[in-house]
Amino acid sequence: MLGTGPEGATQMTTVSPATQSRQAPETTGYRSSGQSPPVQTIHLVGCGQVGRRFLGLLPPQQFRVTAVSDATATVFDRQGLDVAAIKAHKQNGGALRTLASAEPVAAELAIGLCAADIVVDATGSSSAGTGGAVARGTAALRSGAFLALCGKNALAAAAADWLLGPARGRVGINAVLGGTGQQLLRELDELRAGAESVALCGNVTTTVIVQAIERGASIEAGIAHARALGILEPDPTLDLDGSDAAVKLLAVHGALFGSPLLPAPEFAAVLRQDVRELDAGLVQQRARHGATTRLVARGSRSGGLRVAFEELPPGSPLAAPPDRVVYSYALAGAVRVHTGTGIGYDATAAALLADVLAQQVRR
Amino acid sequence: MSSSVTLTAGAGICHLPLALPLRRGGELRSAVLAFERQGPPDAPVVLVLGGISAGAHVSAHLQVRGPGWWEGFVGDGLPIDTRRWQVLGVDWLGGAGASTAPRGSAPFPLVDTCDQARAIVCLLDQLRIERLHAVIGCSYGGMVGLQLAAAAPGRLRRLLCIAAAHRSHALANAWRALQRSIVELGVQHGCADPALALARGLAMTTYRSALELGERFSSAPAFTGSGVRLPVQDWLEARGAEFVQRTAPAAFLCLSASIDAHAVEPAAVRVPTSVCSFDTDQLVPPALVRELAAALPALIGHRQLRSRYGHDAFLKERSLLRPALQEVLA
Repeated sequence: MLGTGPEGATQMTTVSPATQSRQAPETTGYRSSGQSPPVQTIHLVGCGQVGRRFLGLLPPQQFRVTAVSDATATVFDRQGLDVAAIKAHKQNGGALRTLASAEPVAAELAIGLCAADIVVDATGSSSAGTGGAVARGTAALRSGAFLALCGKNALAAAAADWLLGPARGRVGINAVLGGTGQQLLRELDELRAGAESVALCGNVTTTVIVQAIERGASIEAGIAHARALGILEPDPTLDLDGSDAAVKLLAVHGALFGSPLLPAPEFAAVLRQDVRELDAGLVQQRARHGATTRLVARGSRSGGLRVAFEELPPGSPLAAPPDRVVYSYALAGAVRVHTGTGIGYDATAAALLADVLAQQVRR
Repeated sequence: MSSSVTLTAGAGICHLPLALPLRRGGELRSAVLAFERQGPPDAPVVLVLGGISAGAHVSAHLQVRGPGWWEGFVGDGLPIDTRRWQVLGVDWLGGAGASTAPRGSAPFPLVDTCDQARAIVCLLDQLRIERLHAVIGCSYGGMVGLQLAAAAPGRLRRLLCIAAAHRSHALANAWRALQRSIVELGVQHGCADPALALARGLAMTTYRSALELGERFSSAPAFTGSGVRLPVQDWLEARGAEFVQRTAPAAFLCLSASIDAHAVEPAAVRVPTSVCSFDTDQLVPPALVRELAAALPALIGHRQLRSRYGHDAFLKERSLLRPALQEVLA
């Protein structure tokens, strides 16, 4: 049963209270106040590239990881898990179910049972996994936890519910939006009241491909260049066909213009352009004239969601270099521009941590 | 990891390198430099830089109709004629405009004039401006112009440096240090805006001259019970209140410190350079500009101008400055 300690020798063992006291001296940093804020407990869902990096960044004095789930099982110890051992186990390709203390319980169920203060969902995005991700997030919020997300599909499906409903303030989306999620939430009231539309350049892969084309490469060579740089997913379809940008657009559109009472726009409602449909000659011609081309996702208050390659003049905020993402919100007579660098495993983990630390400050 | 800026209509943005190392330590990450252009797109480009309160919007034009910081100098038929020249302006890093700047109480590194110049070079690269026809810099903008000329001499044909020098004068340092102390004290005690207004009022007394203030505010004070109300107080308070509306305390602190951190070796400024000073300028006294002029290897000339407006003469003296502007644009 979840909540019990280890029941025998395993590759990963839970820590004893004595070990825990060494790992997490609860009074560190709070002595002057005479009060020690309680160490917050964390349930990490997904212990892949991002999840393991997140564990590496987590300050042990402030947080205790009490549960980790992957697709196969959950390990739990109320006194705190041996994070290093779990990281090593996963790094070596091990599934959590092979640990003796693991329970083969679905993560959304385990979230409720483990009842951590914070649920960090570090699982990647996939349309097939959207239902599960939404269920996990909902379970976390129902249990009263703070939810830090990095998957965009769940947010696209549930942005209005999570960001505007009763759970408002308990969902961190910094990593979902490439490190700009905290900015969006800070300014959400103002932007919901005043923004007429949103435009984003949030897909790094296509930016890299376009830049290669601008330098004279064919579309195929541009894609090969992105693959050689290691930024292309094993299945790059979602990047190449505009789906990745479309889902990010849905997520932010839901936050800005959505309502918990109304259904979110369907993914199919987003018109998309595939990078393989680009006219390489046109891209190169624009570049010769000082302009550039980017995959831009746009949506307005009245709807009209689309993802397309656009010509951008020099100085356009959306003409982002491939090392960052830009979300741009059109206000009356002005444009609010959020720029983020939460790209790649390390930065995504750091963006998750920023959400976790920010909720602690708010407490 | 992220930044938030608000661009007004007509402004553009330059994404600076992901990590921009700063001369005095630290770095700016994912910073942006906001800019504005007016004039014919294919015309030679003139970069116009103002003081720490100035920004990218230099003057009103068809795309952005509100007044700019240098009205009367820039526009169709004016000394910097936007029918002949394309005028480029920037919002300072760390300042009150749309470029990356401190927000709230979050720590922000010291951005000095050399860093501003390097950011401008990035902008020129992005806009594919190989060589500026001229750089015209006033006050802080003149300091940045000197840095730009020293760091990237190939990127500008000529420099006009108005009411600025290669270093800050100790008396000006002292005044600015006091202004910053006032603001810092206000921040510590939860009254940052009134403190900023006070600091601005003090700053105004350094921007103008004894001659001007004497002429404008020589009427008798009003005695109110145990106190006295001076004619100049309304002006100081109005300037302070107006400044608070458009400037965050942190941005003021950042750029004020940036002026005091300014230093450039005149011998490194090899671009043909004109300099202008004003006889009543308390902040950048003519003697300091003479020191600069004497050490510039490619000095075109030093105009020592008479004005009642002190340091702010660069905002007021259109006819006095016209010959220098014509010279640098010729």
